[in-house]
Amino acid sequence: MNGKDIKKAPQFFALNNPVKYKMPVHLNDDEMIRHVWDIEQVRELMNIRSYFIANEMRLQELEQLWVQEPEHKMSASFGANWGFFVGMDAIKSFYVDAHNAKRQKQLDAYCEKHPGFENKPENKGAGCINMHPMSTSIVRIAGDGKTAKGIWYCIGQDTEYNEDGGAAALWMNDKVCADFVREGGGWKLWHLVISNDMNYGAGKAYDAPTYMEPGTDPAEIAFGKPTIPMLAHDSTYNWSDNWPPMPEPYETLMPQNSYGPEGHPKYQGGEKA
Amino acid sequence: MMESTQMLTKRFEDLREIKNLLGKYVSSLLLKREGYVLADFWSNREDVCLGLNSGYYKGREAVDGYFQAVGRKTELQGKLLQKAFPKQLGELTEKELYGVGPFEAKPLTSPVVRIAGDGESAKGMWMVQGSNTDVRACGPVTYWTWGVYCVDFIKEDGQWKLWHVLYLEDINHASGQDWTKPEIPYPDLPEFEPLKEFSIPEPNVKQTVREYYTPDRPFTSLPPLPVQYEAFADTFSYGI
Repeated sequence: MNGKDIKKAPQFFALNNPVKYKMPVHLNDDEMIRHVWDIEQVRELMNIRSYFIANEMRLQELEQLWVQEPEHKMSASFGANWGFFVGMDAIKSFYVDAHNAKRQKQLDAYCEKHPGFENKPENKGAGCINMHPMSTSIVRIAGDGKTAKGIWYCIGQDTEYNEDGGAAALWMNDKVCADFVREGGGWKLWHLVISNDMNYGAGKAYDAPTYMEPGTDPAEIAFGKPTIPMLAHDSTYNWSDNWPPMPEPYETLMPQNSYGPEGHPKYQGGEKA
Repeated sequence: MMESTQMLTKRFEDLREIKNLLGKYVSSLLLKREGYVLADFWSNREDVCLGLNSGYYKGREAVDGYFQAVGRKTELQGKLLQKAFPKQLGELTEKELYGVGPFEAKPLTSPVVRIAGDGESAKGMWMVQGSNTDVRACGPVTYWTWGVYCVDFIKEDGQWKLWHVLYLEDINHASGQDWTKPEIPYPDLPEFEPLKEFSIPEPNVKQTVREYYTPDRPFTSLPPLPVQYEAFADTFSYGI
């Protein structure tokens, strides 16, 4: 990399004006326990998601944990460093269908190396392991009680089977943010962002070169072609752009303060691709 | 039917106590207090059970035997390190030396907990990415772990206690090495040779509860998540 190619540090989004969170003092005992229980339910939803991922239950995740009402399904989004998939159909296409296609190719290769092993859907995931534990959460329930926002940090790993019979293990450090909405008496995922800060080979020397040219990051390639392509989070050199930001107390969820694409300062500024 | 304020508050308090109990347990293991954890945190019942990848320590005597053996290993590790590092450790008493060397940080994440409708038991599952150091025949070695805690809890005299603890790992591999490949062992050191002869008693119910990950491992689901239940007889056990 020569001097001309040095990337410019990304803009820092000053989206968190530190506000000491005041417990809603106007709540009575009943309202307070329900407020606290709502926070626990939102946290638990994301925890259950971690187990669904580990158990190759992505379709069940979309059916059980994500929005089901048509209006919410249309505006649901799955974001990452490179843009957003919008609408549950697009999310399913990336998150479930493309993933299952990859798993089938891996299973085909696994079965070649293990004659007699059954090539059937239940065996997808052979040679792979994915763990994305959720920790360090902050959850805000909207003042109007209809939605919630949360942030988690996830030190995870994706170990993927290779066609040569080996595997590649990656540490995946992600900031995970999400909007939730009440449906059917419970909480559902509405807008999700998995913002990757670092992905690094397990066992790779920590001083090994890590720079990747745009378009060559395997995680970016795996993300495919999102509905709204944009450089939403630039993790080059571990820069911090503070996106997605921690949730602050809020009254009502609107597209502009959501973790969907419309909530991104670049989208609001007209920079999408 | 919406639950009453009192019921929801009680459930929240139970949830917090259960999470704190397991947190205290893993923190105690980090602090090498294995000689105390059975009395401090486990149920007084005889049918307690500790499950690991290689089988189950079923019954109080077996669980106690396991923790006592870990304690003896910890003592030995400290003494060997003291001999190897006399300048740094030579002055320490046996009590001060206990716990020097091994280190097991197993932070608990992603809890999913269900409290029985009758309030007498509970089940929970946690995901754990551990950072650890052991002292082996090769000397001190750090290793990564990825696994889960699956726990049945029981209420005794108004307090939550551990009943069946299942700790399963997918990965237990030397740090700085690729866990998709066989671990490259470090050479034994003469100063730590006594550790070659030391072994923890095997589980009294020996079985492969979970295979460690290798690229040849078929897809292996995690143990089942807890589901809501009324009484313990209505649900599955994380023990045997």
